[in-house]
Amino acid sequence: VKSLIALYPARWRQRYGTEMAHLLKDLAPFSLAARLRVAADLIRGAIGAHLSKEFRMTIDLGGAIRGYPGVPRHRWRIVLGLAVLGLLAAAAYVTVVPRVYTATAAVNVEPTAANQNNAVAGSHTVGATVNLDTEAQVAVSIRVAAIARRMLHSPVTPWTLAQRVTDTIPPNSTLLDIACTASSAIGAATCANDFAKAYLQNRSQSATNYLNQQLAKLHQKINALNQAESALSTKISALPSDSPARAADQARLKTDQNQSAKLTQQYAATSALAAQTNGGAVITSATPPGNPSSPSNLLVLPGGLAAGLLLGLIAAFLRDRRDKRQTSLPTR
Amino acid sequence: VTGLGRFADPSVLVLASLASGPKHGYALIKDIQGFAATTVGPGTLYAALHRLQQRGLIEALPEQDRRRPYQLTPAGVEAARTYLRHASQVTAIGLSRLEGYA
Repeated sequence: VKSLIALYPARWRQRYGTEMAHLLKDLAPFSLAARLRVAADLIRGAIGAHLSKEFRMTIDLGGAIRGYPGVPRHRWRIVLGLAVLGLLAAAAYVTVVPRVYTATAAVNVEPTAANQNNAVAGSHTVGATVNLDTEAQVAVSIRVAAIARRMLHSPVTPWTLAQRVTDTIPPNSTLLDIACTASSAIGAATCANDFAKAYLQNRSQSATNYLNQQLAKLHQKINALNQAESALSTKISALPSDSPARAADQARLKTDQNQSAKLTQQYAATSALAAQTNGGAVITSATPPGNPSSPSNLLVLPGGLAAGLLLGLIAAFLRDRRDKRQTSLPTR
Repeated sequence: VTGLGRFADPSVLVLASLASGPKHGYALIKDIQGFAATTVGPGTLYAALHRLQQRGLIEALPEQDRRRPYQLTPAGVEAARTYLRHASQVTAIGLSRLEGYA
């Protein structure tokens, strides 16, 4: 507690320092509460002493500012005052403004069966099959947001939810970093993780849908061929064995059978691709961040100080110019 | 004065305390605790001592054992008397008016 006497102006300390130190020694020992009370009292007293007319000239904080060539010596107090004000305003802003937390989940995007013919030259691609630029857009789409919204049991619209999410592609990677902002650290992490899951779910669903469509088309073609084949078989069996039409129909049947065998093969191959609808995995889950992403003390506090300092310098210059003008007026 | 805590004017407390003779900082705090049931912090006490000295209401005596006692000046006696009389008038009227309340 005694060291707080150092906060007083030098001339105050010269006059009262010794006796105050003795007083504190006489008052000791202090309980913790008493120590805090006495400390607060001394700080208040020191501020009062600095503000009193008699002592305030002895504050020696402005040396650097006073030394600045353009600023007149007696103006440094404006500069210091406004700088402190700027810092205080920044501190107040940091404490008052709502905190925003950001958490990021990393997803490794792998090609699915739906990406077989997707090569896009010169883009972020995986083996020329997955277009990550497209995937980055998909991950923040309303469709993915709607899935994530159900996972999060969020009351907001998918559109509002999607506004909170951004994603980036780390250079030369097949990764997608999905970042989500929220008013709490846990909320941000849950949101980022659910978005990553929702994105993968959507991706897998899209691949499955695409495959099912392909399979359905093939199935349709094979069915049509089978019908044509049985119709031809019936027709052939009704024709005499030496009929020229019979030979022609038999040739047609042969072609149809070949084609249907090919399609059946294709169907089997496409079915096998159904295993490839996974589309990727979350490789790094989002964890609740320790510090809010905004406001950033490191950014706001120096910013407030700098702004205050600048305003103070301007104010000092303006004040000085006005004073000079006044003193140069002719006196009656 | 009691009940108002640190809002009680420390200058008045110091003047009232010094009325019973010169005292140094520690003696002042203890004395004020005794008659006003208020603890004046060291920062507050020295701010008051400084103000009173500037107005010539008290003066510092030579140091004794590195503790400096302060005493009332004639102007301080007069100022304390005037202030306390006025305060007691206000107190008397205020109290009589408050009698109407439960």
